[in-house]
Amino acid sequence: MSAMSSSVNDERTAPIYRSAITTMTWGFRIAAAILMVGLAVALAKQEELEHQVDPFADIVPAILDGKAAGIIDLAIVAIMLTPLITVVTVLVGFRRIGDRRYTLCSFLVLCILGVSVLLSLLR
Amino acid sequence: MDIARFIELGVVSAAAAVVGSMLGLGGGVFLVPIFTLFFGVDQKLAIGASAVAVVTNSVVGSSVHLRSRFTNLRLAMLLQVTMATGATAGAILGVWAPERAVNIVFGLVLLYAATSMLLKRTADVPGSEDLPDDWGLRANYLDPATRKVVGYIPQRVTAGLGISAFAGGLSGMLGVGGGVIQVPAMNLLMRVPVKAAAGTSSFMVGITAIATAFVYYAEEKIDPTVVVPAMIGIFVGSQAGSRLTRRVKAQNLVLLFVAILLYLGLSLLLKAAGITLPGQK
Repeated sequence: MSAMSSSVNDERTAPIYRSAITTMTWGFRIAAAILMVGLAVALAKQEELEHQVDPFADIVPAILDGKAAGIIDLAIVAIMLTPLITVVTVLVGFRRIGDRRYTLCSFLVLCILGVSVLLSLLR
Repeated sequence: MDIARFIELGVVSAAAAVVGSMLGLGGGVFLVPIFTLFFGVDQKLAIGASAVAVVTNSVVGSSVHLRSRFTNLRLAMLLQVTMATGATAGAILGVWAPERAVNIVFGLVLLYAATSMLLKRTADVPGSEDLPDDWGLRANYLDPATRKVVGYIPQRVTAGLGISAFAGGLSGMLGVGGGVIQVPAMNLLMRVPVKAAAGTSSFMVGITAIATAFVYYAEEKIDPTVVVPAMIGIFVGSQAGSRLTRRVKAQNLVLLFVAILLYLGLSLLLKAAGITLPGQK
């Protein structure tokens, strides 16, 4: 009985695992690629790494100015956002299979993380 | 850019990622003391860097654990509710806490973790599959080391939620993922097999650490000269660590873990008392 319910459980949750893996994998790849570009630009322009990250609002203008620091800041933000996006995909997955308890848990986690993101946006 | 320092920080981070990933930790438990004791990095900057490194380690390592089904996503999301709450509160507190106090708390946490792992080395918890499953957390995975399907149902969930809040608070304050408390708690208290505890924790620490990382970002405590080599080291070390977990028996990891934690814990307590060991800053 328990083996059967485990197996059914595995089939239902398999898409959630797949979407979490995809999000993590692509989050890592994108962040790593941006970081490598940032370091390459820093080396090419002989630009020193900054000792402080820019506020979120200044990252895009820094990139548009061709500053390596802006690209590196973007890589840091990209890796920080990856688990956040993963929580969203897990939430959507639980909702799709009709698991209300764990949809609610995922939503609560997202709200709590939202508070810390808001704190940094309000800087 | 000081290339030698950049490489040293990268190598240390890679080593922390290998060990951390194998044990279901983010590696931050090693990084903060090493960065402050051996590289003279400001404590708050070390915590900020560690939080980003823990996120990186989790992002890289979790895919492997998720694929192996060592990660129990329901358990992770449930415990994460209290853990993330604790982490946000802990991070806000940690930014303002005096360095000496943080060293003492960190040192004690490391000694606790080392002692608990040393005293209770029995990591396998068979037989929990027939117990009640009130929270719908039943899961199983194929253990590649024994080639057996391991089924389990986490127990004492309410206590697990309480410990997760505490682990999250420490995580936010110290820049670690919280796995150092979460793995033993899941394994010994909630009767989750050690590989599932490590896999679930590896996923959770990344989510916990972003609560910390964003608070430290807001407080300008993220230094790219420390974070960037740490991220590169973690990119390399984490994948190796996650793959090794599948082949190495759990008990073989414990002694290595204990030795490193004891040394770092004692070093931090001595530093809080004004004593710096040779080779440290």
